Amino acid sequence: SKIGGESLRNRDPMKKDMISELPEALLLHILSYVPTEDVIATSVLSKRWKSLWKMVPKLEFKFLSMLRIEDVYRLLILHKAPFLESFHLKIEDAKGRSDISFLIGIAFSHHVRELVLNLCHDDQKKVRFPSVLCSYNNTLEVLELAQDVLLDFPSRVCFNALRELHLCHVEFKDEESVCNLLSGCPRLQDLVVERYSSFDVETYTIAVPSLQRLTIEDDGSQDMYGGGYVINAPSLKYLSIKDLYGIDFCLIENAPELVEADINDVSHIDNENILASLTSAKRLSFQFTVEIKYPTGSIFYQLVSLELDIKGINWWNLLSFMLDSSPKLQSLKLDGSCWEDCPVGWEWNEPKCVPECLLLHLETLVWRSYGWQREDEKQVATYILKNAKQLKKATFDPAYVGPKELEKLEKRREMLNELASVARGSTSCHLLFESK
Amino acid sequence: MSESDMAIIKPEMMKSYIWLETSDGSIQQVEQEVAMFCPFICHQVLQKGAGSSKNNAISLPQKVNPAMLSLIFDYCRFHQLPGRSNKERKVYDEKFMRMDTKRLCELTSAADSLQLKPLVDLTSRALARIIEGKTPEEIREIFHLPDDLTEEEKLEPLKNTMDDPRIRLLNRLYAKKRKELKERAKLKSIEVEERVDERVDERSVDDLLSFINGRDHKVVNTSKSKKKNKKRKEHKNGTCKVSNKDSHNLHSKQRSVDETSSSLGGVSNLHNIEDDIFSRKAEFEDGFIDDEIDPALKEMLDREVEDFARRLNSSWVLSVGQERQPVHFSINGNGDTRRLTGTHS
Repeated sequence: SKIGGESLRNRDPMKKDMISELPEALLLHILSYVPTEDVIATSVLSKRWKSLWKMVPKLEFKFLSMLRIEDVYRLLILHKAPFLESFHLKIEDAKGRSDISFLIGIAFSHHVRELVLNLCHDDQKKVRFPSVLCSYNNTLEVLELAQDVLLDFPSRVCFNALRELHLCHVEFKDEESVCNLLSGCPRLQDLVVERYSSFDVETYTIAVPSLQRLTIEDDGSQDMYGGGYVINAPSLKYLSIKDLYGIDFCLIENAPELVEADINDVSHIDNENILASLTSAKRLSFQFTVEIKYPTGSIFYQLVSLELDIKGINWWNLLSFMLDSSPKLQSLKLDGSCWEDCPVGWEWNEPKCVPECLLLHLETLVWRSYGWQREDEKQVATYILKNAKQLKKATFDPAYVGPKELEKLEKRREMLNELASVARGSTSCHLLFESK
Repeated sequence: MSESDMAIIKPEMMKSYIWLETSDGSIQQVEQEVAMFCPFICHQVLQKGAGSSKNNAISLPQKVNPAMLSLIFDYCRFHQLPGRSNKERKVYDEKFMRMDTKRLCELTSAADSLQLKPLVDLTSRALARIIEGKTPEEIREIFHLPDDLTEEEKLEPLKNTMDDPRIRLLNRLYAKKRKELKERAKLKSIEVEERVDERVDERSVDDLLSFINGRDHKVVNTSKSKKKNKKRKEHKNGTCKVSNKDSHNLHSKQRSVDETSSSLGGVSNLHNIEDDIFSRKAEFEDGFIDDEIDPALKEMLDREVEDFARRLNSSWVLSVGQERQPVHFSINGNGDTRRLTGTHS
């Protein structure tokens, strides 16, 4: 009866099957945008579609508590595409744990290009990543490992094609394993590390000559202290470090190719070395919660854009230092404090000479959460407005006042007016007060 | 098209229009910069010098009819202008994609023939969105696909796999694993009973069965440590979408009771290969294997492994074909202690 219905349908030009006529490569391309479970389900659609799923080079199992390990095995084995573009496996089921090595092995034998493994077991036991598979691989380009994975590499790996590596809360057996993994990736360009400091190793050494982008996100909320990072990446262009609360040290070898660095929530460590290594950067963004040491003599000779969070202690010293040391600075963004009072005994020591960048280059100033109640912020703002001869636009987003607090609102208006009437160093400077 | 190509064109041709012939024989001319946005046309112009006059019009591939060509050139006309912002382009693309499915297929085909990759990607994604999340019936309805597979054929991929030596190997592996588990259970039967697993105690057997079924995610997600919570929160590939996935899982919730037969035949005999595999497997074995299996779960595991051979031939594909209907969980009354049966009626 189906057949009868079918030929009737075929006669109607409006109901022609347009999609199955597309060339196979195109159908596979379409299916590559469809989630794996749905792709596999297309095997029952019609004759044309029966075996298509086997050629779609992506197998991404993200909800493995619905699908079993045996099913994954079977699917992997039935899969016929000559290359596996990507294989994603997110497993929460502890039972399938010992099969993971096999599955990875099968994926490797299918020349997988991108492997994502996210193991999250309730019992938090780790699964060892099969190091025996890592001794010679030419196809893997992207590797992401997350959560309950143990990395134990007694000898150097060989991932010749690996460009991108994400290690998210995985556990290294020892410092040697870190070294054996990272040094075995001659083309590694992008490294993202999320971990709890000193959770697995004390000194986390990142020595990768080819590395261009590095992101480290430590997690300061856990009660772990000690340990640190040693970063030796001469080709580094982009650096992002966050949340290095409890660590003891972070040594960065010089990075002459550096374009941009974001250092946030870093404290308790000797930061002098960090700043000194960043002198090649064009753009910097800092958030330090404690006073850091300033590398005297360092000049940020290419710095054009600087963002500073000025909620920390003695922030104006950092600002002075940076203004003095960044002769070419064009854009300055400050993130101010919501607290009303500036520290007791505060003193603003005006720089002896006006910094070169203020005289010659600074064009844009943006001050978010401008602390109009604070003497320190007011004085620094005034200083900049007075002395920045090239300033084109200065935007102040004043600290928030509720609409009912009439007295405060009045006071704020007064302060802002005072700021606006400061004699500006630049005649073409456009002053703007914004409220977000 | 590179700068140098443009340099070659300009002095020699200086034409601002390109002549094209569509599959129905009609000829038209289109502004050069618009037409050259299509690699196919670009190639014809540069390599063969075609398109310069009405007589020398470029023959377009068969799949490109005038209606589609017009659409494609609208797209090209918009995108070939370098001054447009990414946002503008995105907004345009979204609007452009609003068309019926039939047209979408035609457009994909035409764009593909002209090798216009950005448009091929755009239309492919649109078609993918249509396919995603729908039942096979719905998909057949939308695209007017013939339902020309017999029930048997729908199962076929799995049936034939029994011939695949790798599947047979897996069968043996699982048989061996089950044996191993049984042995361990004997050794540990006392130990295991003494262990208190609070997680298990909280749940009834039914809950456990659902857990294995993957039905009830709430059960899965209990008892997390604080650390785990934080990790999960931050990790992008976040949580399972319980509600809508329930109806579309591939998992054989609805394994029908009696399968096809050839299943058990697979569990065989070639012990030497099996041992070989097994010893290799031991290499992979990590020191963290979970051998404290609580009794109820262990029994489940046992049965699962036992079922594996049958499951290879199971109706999961059939259930996939017919599924996406509310799951019926019931213990099979015919005495089969298999815990998963379902109906797909």
